[in-house]
Amino acid sequence: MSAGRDTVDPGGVVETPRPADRDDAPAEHDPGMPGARAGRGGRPALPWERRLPAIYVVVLVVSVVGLFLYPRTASAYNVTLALTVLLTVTLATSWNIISGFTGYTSFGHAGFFGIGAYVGALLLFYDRMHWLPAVIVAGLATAAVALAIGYPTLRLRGPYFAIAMLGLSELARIVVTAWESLTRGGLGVFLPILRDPTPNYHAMLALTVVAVVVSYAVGTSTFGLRLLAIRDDEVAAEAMGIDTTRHKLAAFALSSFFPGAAGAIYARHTGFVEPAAVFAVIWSIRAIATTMVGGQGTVLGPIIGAVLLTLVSEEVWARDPNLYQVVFGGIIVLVVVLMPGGLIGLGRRWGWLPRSRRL
Amino acid sequence: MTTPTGPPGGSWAGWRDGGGARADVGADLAGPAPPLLEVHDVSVRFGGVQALNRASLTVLPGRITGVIGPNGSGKSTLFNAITGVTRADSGSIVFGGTDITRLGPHRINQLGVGRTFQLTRLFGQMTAFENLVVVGRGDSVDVRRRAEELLEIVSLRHVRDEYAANLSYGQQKLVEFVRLMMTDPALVMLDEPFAGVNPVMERRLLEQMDGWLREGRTIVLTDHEMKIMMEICEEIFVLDHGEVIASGTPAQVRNDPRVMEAYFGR
Amino acid sequence: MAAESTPDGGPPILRVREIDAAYGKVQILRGVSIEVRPGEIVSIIGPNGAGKSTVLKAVMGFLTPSRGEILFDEEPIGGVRTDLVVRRGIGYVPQGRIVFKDMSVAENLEMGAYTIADKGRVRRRMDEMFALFPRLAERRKQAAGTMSGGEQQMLAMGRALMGEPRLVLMDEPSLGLAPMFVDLVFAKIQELRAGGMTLLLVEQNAVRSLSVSDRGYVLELGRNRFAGSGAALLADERVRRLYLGG
Repeated sequence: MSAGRDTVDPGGVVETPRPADRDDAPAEHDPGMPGARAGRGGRPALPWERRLPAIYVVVLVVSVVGLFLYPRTASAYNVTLALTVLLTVTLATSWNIISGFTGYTSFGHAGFFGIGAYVGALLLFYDRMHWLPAVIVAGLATAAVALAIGYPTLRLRGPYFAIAMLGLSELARIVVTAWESLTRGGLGVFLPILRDPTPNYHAMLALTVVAVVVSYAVGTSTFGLRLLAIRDDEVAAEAMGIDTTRHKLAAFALSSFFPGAAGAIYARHTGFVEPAAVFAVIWSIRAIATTMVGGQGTVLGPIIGAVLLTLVSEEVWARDPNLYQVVFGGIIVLVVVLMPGGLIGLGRRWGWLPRSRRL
Repeated sequence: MTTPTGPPGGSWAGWRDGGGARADVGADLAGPAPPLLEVHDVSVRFGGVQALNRASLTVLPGRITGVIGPNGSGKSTLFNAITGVTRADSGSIVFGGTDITRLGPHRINQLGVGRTFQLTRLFGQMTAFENLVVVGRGDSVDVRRRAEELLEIVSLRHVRDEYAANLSYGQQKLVEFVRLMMTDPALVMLDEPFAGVNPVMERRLLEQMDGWLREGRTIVLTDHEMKIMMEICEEIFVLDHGEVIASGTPAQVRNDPRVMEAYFGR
Repeated sequence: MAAESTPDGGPPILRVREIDAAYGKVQILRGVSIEVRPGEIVSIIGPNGAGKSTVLKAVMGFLTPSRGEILFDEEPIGGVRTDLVVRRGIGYVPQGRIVFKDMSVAENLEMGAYTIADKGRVRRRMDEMFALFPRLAERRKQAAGTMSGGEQQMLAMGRALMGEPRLVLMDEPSLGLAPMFVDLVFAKIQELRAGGMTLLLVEQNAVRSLSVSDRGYVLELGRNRFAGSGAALLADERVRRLYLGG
């Protein structure tokens, strides 16, 4: 103890006077604060960053044109592969809107995919309308369902929400299976087999473009920023006047349109839907894993992750179907443990990529 | 919004003795101003504990009011009840004539009540600038301009694009302060604003508060640092075991035997 | 603190020397020093936000001081894992009477004896606790969550004692208790000291605490402010004024 400055009075009480100026404890990085890991690094504006929107437009137009023309030179197998890649991009991008941005990890994408697949398939089976509007109707119907179940479930905290969505997804499968009079239950719905995958492929391409554009719009808008605020600290966001319920519902409905529409296209493409196939949990897992690999809460993350993982898994699966699961699982574990920010997050941490929300 | 010119006299104590430009609200008017906030008989119970027991207090507009009390006295619960984070079991809370007892936190904020939290709660994954923009309301161009202005006022322009999680503690406190101003609150509630803050930063925070009062806002704050509370508050409410046991000017409260008992023990 | 003659002439059982401690970025303690000698009751008092509880948490290993050292029986324990600190002989009664609500009184006490392998010894120790706290004996099979606050505080104390500690830290034992139980708690504290136990208390109720303490430390905003015998501090006007911003 600082004996020199203490004073002892006759009563036996030692007084340590208050110091004139207190130390300013240097602020250390607080690992407890949300975003401390994922948010670190990233160069501030790089010169090419301002041209990003223009670059995006060019890249988008070029790739859309290229992809549109692809079936002319590719085999049917490759067209199907490309369709699968686009499907995964759509699922990942849309999942990112609710879960990547808002932080509410949803296992409901499988359920939405299945609902969309069935709505689309049944509309075609009962010959109600042309397939293109059917895809849109399927998407809208799915969004409506999402709004209905979102209201109660989005009140739940993280893990509870995840489990609730998992359960509801299963519930949807069971309902569809049981409602035989409408859905033909376990027998499944058969649709005409199409020789040419091209129209479905084009539809999926269109859907993917819309999903990507919407994702960009969300990611660069104040709406998206508010979703990020909800992810960081929902209580603080509420206290600052953000209507979190409305925002979450909007994100949820928006994100669920796409798996619904994609499910309808998928149904037409494969020509056969049954509950076990279209409600399979793997649809959720694909969306989640690819987005995490690419980078949650970013615009490019889901795209990069989806393309990368789909192509890699196809390669691995072609060589050895058993190895495929190991590799896939291993990648997911690696990402969760080492790079929670995904590839984009890694790029930012190493200073290659700017912090721009446009990424 | 007028730009604050800084504390007059260079010392907080000097300003408090009435040398400043701020008129003593209500003193020259015919009759006292109506209360801005009325908390009436509010009770909150959770975890088997009566956190608030028929607590009542009134806050007059344009003033700086303090809430103090020993550990577990219910200060945080009171703040949470007023701002809608916690539901009051009974009683009523009226803000500017509107009953806000059952409203949600975002609605209460939109009506004009803003608050800070004990440990800074910025959005760590966003830059300082984005933290301000995200809570702004209205035209986005105006919002962005306002955000830039506010950062300039607290001299934090240079950390504009820094992730909030990477700022120093003092910088975070300042950003949280100006973020509050983005929502233009008439009533500002500060939950332990001086916790873990060095004297230099303390002065900067007080400057901000000074500016708010000049703009006609009302401040309610709570803190453990008794010295500062006694110096800056015009009125103080003392909580103990969820009840308001005393209220009045700092001088009155300091000499109240019940207050001494609550703090020092029987 | 200048070396004074100790009650039984031994070296301090606990020495906290100039520790700094923080929660994340918030600095709580700055250069705090405390000494406890065997057989004493020492109180740490002070206004809110003084960091009193943090001192106990640092001793118990819940947080590691960034500077300074903590010595128990002259052995450094700063930053040592909590369960190892307990095994060395320090018992801890946390703030708020944390008891295992769904377990019975006996089961709660058993949990306190976790570090003792010998079942016979555990049973004997439990009997000793029931002798010390007759109210608990009456309720040995009762679920802890259904007892009153004061009884839970007794249980929390008993549980800390089960591990046969040589030093007991108590964080705000009288907080939120009815006056009758406050009396009971402080009576027990004195009983324990009479039995040779050493106690370090952190208390809100400075008057009660100082009146049973041999010595006390007053902390303010994370620093030492006053120190002296319990009686001297109790009578000191400056200490009183400290609580209300004098």
